[in-house]
Amino acid sequence: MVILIDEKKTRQEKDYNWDNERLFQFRKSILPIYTLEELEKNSKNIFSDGNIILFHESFLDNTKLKSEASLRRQKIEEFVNKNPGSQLAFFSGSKNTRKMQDRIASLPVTTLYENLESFLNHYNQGEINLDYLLYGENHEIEKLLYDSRELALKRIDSKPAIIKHKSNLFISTDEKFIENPIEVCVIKEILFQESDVELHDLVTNWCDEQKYDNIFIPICFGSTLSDFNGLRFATHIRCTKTQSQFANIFIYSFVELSLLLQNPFFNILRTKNIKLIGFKKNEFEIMGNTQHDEFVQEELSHELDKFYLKHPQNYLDDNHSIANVWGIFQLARNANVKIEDIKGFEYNKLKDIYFKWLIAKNNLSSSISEEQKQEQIKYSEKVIGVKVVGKIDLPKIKRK
Amino acid sequence: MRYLLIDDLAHSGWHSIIEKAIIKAEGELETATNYNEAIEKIQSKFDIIFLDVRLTEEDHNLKNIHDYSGYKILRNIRKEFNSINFSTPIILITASNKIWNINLFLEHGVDAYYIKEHPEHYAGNESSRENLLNFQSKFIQLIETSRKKNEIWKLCSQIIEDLNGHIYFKNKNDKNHNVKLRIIDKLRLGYSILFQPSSVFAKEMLLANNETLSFIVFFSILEEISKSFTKIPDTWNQKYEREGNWKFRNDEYFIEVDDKSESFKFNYYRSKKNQKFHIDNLKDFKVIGLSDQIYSLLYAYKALDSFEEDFKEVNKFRNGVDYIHSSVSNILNKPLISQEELEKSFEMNIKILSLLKKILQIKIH
Repeated sequence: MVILIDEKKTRQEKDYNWDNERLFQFRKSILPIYTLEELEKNSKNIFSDGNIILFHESFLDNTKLKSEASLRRQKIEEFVNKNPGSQLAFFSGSKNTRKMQDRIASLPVTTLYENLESFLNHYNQGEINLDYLLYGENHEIEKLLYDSRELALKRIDSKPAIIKHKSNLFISTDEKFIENPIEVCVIKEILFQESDVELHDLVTNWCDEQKYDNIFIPICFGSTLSDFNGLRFATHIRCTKTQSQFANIFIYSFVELSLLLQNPFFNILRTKNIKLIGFKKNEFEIMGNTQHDEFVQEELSHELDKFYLKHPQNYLDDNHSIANVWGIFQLARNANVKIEDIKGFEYNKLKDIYFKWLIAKNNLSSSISEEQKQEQIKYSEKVIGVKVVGKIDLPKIKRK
Repeated sequence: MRYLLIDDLAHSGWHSIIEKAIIKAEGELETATNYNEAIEKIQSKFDIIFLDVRLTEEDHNLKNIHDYSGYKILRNIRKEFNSINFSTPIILITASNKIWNINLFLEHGVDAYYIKEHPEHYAGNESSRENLLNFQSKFIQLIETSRKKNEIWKLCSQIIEDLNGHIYFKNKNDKNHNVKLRIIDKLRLGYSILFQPSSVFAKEMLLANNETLSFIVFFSILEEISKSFTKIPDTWNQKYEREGNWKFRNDEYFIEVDDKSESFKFNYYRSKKNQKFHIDNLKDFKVIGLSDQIYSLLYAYKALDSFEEDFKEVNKFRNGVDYIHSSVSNILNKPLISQEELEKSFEMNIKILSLLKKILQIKIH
C-alpha cells in the first residue's frame, strides 16, 4: 500500500488536482492521511513492512508533536531501514531538487504530485520503483545524463582555454572535474550544495571576491542531474548584489536543449549575457574572448522581467504566507528598518530564489531615497508626540 | 499606550515590524496568536487592536468569511456596547485584497485596514511607499480617535451603570424601565453618530457635522430624565395630559396648585419662582420648555447650586446649534453651523454626558 501523509488537502486539490475523486480511482493502492489523529489511529497498518510512505516533511509542524517532528522523521527512516520491503519519500515545497539514497527519497512537492499517477500505475502493475515518483515516466533520464556527461568529459581537450584580458571564474563539480579548464581563472567547486540558501551563500562569497568578467557554470550539479541546477545558479548570480552580478555567464552543457525546456529557470537563457555553451574548452575560449555588450544595473529589471518564477510551494496558500514574507520585507524597507533587526523573521527566506528574483526585478535591493528617509524620521517624531498627547487612562469600569 | 496584535504569525516578524515601523516604541504591543488567546486578552482594555483575518490553517480552507477566526473575534469585541474594548479602534491586517471581505469587516466595526503586500499584485515601489504612509497615517489618526472614543464610551458606560443601579429605574415593571431603555438607546445612537465616518465630501459639501448632531441626541436624554424623575400619577392623567400639578418623585413640586385659593405657583421657574398665579392661567403653561424642566428638577433635588453653571453652558450651546428649535434671532442672524461652535462641539458632548452622569448620581432620599 502507498500511504500519502500530507495535511495540506487544499494544496493537494487546488494546486495539484488530486481531489477525492481522483484519489478514489486509486483507492486500492493509496491511502491518504490528513491529520495526526488519522495517523495515530492507523499507525499499525501504516508502518508495516511493504508499505511505501510518502511523507510531507512539515506534517508534524502544526501539531502537538511539533517539538519532536525531527525525531519522528528519524524514526520513520529507521522503520524503513529495518523493513526491506518498505520505501520512503520525504516531500516538501522548500525542496528544489530530487534525491534517492537506498530506499529513501526526497523530492519537491510539485514533482511528487506530478508523477504520482505514473508511479501508482506502475505500482498497480507490480513495478514498485520510486524513480517513477522522482522522474516520472522518463525515469531513465538520470542514467542517460550520467552517460552523456561521461562521454563529454572523455572528449574534452586537455589544452586549457586561453582567455585574454578577462577575469574568469570557473565553477566545477566535485565528481567530474575538468582539469585545467582555462589558463588563467579562479576555480571553485560546488560539492553538495543545492538548496537556495546554500547557493545564495556561495554566490555571495565567490562573486564578491573580485569583479569577474566571465563566470562559467556547469549545467548539472547536485544529487540529480536532471534538475539542471546550473540554470538556477545562474539566476542566483543575476539576483545577488555582488561585484560580479553583471558578469557574462556561460553555462557549459552536454545536454540537448529540448531536455531543458521544461525547467522553471530555462528562461534565464533569454536574458542578456547568459549563454548556453558546449562542453568544450574551445567554446570556453571563443565565448570568453568575445566582446559582449556591457550589462548594467539599469537593464536588470527589464531582463528579469523576461521570465516568471512561481512562488515556492511551502506556504499555507499563496495569498497568506507569501504576503507575510513579502509584506514584512516591504514594510521594513519602506520604513527604513533593517530586515535583519526584525525579530522572528526568517531572514533565510529572502535567500529563496523567488524572493531574490522579485527583489532584483523590482530594484529593491538598494535603500530608499533620502526624501523617503526624511519622511520616516518625521513620522517617528510625530507619532511619539501624538502618543504623549493621546495617552488615556484605562477605564476603571468593571468588566462586563 | 497599550496595543494588541492578533495574528497567528505575530512572532514570525509581524510583532517586531509593527513595533518598529508603526508604533515606534518597544514593549507596548502585546500579542495573541489564536482565537482563545485573543478572547482572553480582550478582557482587558487596549488603545488600538491590530487584527489579522485568518488565524489558522483551517481558516484558509473555509469558504465563508463569517467562519474566519478574525471575523469571530471582531464580533466578540463589538458584540455589546459595554464590552471593554467596544470603543477600541481596530486596524484590520489582511493579505486578502478582496474588497467585499474588507467591507464586511468595516461594516462590523473595523476602523481601518492595511493590506499586506503580495508580490503577485505588486504595483511598484511608489505604491509600496504609499501603502506604508497610509498605514502610518491611519495609526496616528486612530490614536486620537481612540482617546475620543474611549472618553465618550466611558461616560456612556458609566451612565448605563448608574441607570442600572438607580432607585428610579430598578423596577422592571415600572414605566421607568422603558425610559431607561430609551436612554440607553439614545446613548448608543449618539455614540454612533459621533463616530460615524463621514467623507470629506459630506463634511465640505453637505455640511455633515456628526459632533453637533450627537450632542443634540445626548442633550435630548434630559427629556427622559425629566419625565422619569416626575411622579406620574400626581402629574399626568391616563392620557398623559397634565391637569395642574407637576410633582417630582421626591415629593417636591415643580407646579403646585392650591385648590382652595384657586391659584398655583412654581417652585422654580426663572423669575417666576414662588410667584402665585390664578388658576385660570394654568393653560398658559401647558407647554413648558425642557430647560425650565431641568432647572426646576435640579432645584427640587437640591442640585441647582452645583450643576446650574454646567447646565447653562450646555443649554446655551444647544440653543446655538439646535437644528430643531432655532430661535427667531438665530434664524435671522446666524449661519446654521458657526465655526466657533464647531470647534467646541466635541467638548460639549463630554459636558452633556458628564452632566447626565452627575444628575443620575444625585443622592435620592
